Amino acid sequence: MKVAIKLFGVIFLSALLGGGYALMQLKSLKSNSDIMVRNGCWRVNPKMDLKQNDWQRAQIAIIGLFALRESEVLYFIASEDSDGEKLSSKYDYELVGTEPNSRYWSYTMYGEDYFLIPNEDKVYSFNLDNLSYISRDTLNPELPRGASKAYSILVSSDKQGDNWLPSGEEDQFHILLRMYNPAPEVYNNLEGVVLPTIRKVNR
Amino acid sequence: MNFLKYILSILILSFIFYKITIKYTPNVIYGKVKSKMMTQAGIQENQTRLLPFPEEDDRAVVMPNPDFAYVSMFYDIEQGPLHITGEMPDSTYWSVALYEPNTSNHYVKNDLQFRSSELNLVIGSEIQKTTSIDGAELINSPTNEGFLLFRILGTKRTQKEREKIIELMKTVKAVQMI
Repeated sequence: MKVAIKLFGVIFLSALLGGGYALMQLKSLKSNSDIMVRNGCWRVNPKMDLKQNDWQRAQIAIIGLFALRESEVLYFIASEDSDGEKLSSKYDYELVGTEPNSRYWSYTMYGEDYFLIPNEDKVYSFNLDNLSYISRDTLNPELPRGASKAYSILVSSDKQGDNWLPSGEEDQFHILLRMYNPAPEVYNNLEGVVLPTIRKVNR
Repeated sequence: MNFLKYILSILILSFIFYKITIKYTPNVIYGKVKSKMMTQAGIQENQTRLLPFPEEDDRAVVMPNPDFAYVSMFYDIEQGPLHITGEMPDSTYWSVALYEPNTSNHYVKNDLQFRSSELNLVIGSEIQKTTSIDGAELINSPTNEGFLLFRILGTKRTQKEREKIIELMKTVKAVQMI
């Protein structure tokens, strides 16, 4: 009887330690830094190996279940601003960028739990068709020269005008840039392709 | 000495449990999502679920895209291949993707790769390859069970666009060929 109790204790403790540590690592944003390519405040997985790589499959099942392969879509995620601080609803941010080179693209806000952030206006994202573009003559220093279509999105928990993405009441949120069927230049230069900046602005 | 034996056993077993957790977490998540989606929609396997343009209350699958209308189905081809028919839009992005129960994406094809907006697909296993329907593309499913997902893009968010896409979503049908 004593042996059985000891055996059960060893197995239970091992399951708790091994399983718990695995889940903790899978949920950690930092744990996937070795497979992600960084570009400013954005991170992208250049090769979604869901067939052979158990680790990647598990991690994507948690934060991006039923994602598509990188040959179809590139998912750039920002969980920090351009100064390296976590994105939080305590602050307002301005996302400034130019048109990504892909067939369809969008910016979507997700809460800490990776679901859409609740808001009365039911605004969760902006895409190439419903974004209000700004003219180039604003001479915004954040914009690269020669940019064809530029825009500025204000991320805030308080209601704003055009191009407002509500950030709700999230201790940490994420912004996902989806690029469907991106141009070859994007694939060839994931670390250097021009992506928007995200900076805090005064409330 | 006994104490060292216990520590060593715990370390070895912990490593095994660690590996098992990493390997099977996707299957567990898949099972939970399958159960949740089928219960919420009141559907069985091989029946389609329509989710036009998700909002904050749609919390079955993480990171939904509010620009997409989704037609999904948990399929089971053990009893025979599935014939999928329907009509897709002819001027916007749409795609078909298939996933194994371990969440691996084994098939994806978009509107530009299809030659028509008329769907004519057969999902079957390797041993069901003899099944054929005129003009249908046979998709080999490595597992008998899996998940089928149509994504239809609607970027303008007008009522007219929504209604048109929802009408098209309703045309997607799956018939098991027994």
